[in-house]
Amino acid sequence: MTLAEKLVEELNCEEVFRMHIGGYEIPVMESVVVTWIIMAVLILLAIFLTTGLKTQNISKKQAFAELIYEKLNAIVGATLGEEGKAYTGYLVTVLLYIGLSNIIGLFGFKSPTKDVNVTAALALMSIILVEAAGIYQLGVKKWLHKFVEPVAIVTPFNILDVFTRPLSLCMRLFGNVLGAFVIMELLKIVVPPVIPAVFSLYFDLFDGLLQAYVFVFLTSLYIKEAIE
Amino acid sequence: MINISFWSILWTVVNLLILFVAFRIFFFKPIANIIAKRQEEANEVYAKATAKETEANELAAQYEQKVAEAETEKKQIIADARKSADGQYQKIVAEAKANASEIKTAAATEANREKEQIIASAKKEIADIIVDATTKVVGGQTGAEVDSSLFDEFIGKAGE
Repeated sequence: MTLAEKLVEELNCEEVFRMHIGGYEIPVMESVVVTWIIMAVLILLAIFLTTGLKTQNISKKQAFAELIYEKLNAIVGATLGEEGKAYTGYLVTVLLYIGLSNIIGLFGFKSPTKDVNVTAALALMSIILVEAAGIYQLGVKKWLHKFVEPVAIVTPFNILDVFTRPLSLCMRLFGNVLGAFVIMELLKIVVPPVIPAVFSLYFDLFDGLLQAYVFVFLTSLYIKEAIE
Repeated sequence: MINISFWSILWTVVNLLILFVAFRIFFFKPIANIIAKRQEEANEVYAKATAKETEANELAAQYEQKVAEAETEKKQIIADARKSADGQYQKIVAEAKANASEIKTAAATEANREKEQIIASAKKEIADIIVDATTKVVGGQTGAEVDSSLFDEFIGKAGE
């Protein structure tokens, strides 16, 4: 198998099985299965961390859980501001999901974020959340009026924004994960023993978490912009 | 790699929504609740402490007032005592003075009376002596009238 073939095989998202629900044949891709694994890990971890919560004499586990809760809320809430508080829950969830997705490659799984469909779905939900937040907070009239701000001539660009923003979110995440993966594969072949490990710290761990943060940061920025 | 599949997108959306709801139920809600509860407890404790402090301050003020009252009372009592003691003293001294002067007067009167008595008895004695002497001197010249007139003359002269 040539390098190219190997890479393509690694990059392709295989269909794992098919579901037959009603008249539909629903394919379940690798990325979806890995997402389930990630979900299971996150939910089990959440349940483990939040059992036996007390108000006084808290355990180390609870202290850790509260620390994570506070920190995550602070990271996301910093850009969202006070009015956008309601959206922190979703954004924290997305942050954890993308973060774990990006680094799950280290455990031998295919990162779901390496599948463009997953990042597309994430971006789609982000833009729906942004526009919904805008409509909810401002009302339809003001929300529509935002398209002609600051001057009427930029309206086409504002409308374009609705499509380019999710597209850029989607492609940024996908491209970064894909690029990091390709570089790592190449490094593993070119300089096998120690050096890839060092680069892995950056490309797999740091870049993965950074991209998760960037995704959430931009989404929260858009939300803040929309509800102002 | 880059083949858009509607089902994968739908799956991911559904997965994300499930994950979000699960996180809400298992992570955000319980921790937010427990933090709110702790805040409530802390507020309660704080309110209690504040109430206790106010109470303590009140008690301290009351106590201080009582101490001050006791102090003034003490002063009042001492002053009263002093005043009454002074009065008593003055009274006793005055009484003593009065007594003393009374005694003195009584003594003087007594002395005077005694003196007069002594003088009177001396007068009588002298008169008797004179009568005796004159009787002896005059002898034969009996006549009590003469004696008596002589005596009176003598006495008159001696008394001047």
